[in-house]
Amino acid sequence: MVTGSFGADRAELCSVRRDGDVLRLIGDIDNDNATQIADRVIAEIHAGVVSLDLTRVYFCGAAGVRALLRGRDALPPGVALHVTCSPLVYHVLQICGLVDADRLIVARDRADRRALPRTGA
Amino acid sequence: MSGRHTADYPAGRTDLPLTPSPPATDLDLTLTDLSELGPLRAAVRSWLHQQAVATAAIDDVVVAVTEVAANGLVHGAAPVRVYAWRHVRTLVVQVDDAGGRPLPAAAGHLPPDPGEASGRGLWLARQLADVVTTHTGGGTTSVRLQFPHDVTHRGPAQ
Repeated sequence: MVTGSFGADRAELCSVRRDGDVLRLIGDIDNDNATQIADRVIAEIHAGVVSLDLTRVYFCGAAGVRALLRGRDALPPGVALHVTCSPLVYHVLQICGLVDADRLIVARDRADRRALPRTGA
Repeated sequence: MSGRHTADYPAGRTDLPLTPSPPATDLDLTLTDLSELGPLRAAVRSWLHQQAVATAAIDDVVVAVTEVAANGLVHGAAPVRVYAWRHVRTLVVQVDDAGGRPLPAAAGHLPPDPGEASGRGLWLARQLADVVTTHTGGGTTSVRLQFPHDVTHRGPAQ
């Protein structure tokens, strides 16, 4: 049984790394860090990012979706934001009706990270 | 938005009390700050693993619970209590916040407008849980989520 209060885990919830014109996010995006993530995404988009790699985002709810849309809206008119999703992110975007949204190009991760092929015999 | 059906019906709904929760539950956590949503997810994931819930369904439950708990902190008031138990073949998670304000009648019943900044949390919860019931009374707002065994223990969705 798990009970009681708990202190905040101060380890970074989501790390952000720039790789050319792709921004890779690794971790969770929730109400605690979404504003910070959105600000970083917007700054990177202003610096040339056109694609977000969310294949290693393990949590993204309504606050994360809001951050994503703020990023898209930072792009120049007519430019779409490419987003590659983990299964969780894809499912959330699908439920929110954003897979075919304006100026958002949403793709699933091609690699199934839950069942990576075994190597060797 | 003109032409869209407004949810007048739930505005006149009767707010029935929830059936009592068991005296002891598998999980019982109290949140006072948004920084505790991460530890909440870890605890919920670990409980779902113990309940042998399928991987894709774990994500669904974790999203629904996080959204309702975050709503409690953002739109209700701390402390937010999250407790979970199994009732026969159904997993039940309840979130109580100390705001004591009823949820807006239409909250989460209509698909969010892609252009809107807010309103997706309860929509996600209502889409991911099989049943969502709410009750407000005695200074507490409760949202109870139910996930039936047949859904949480299905094979991987392909």
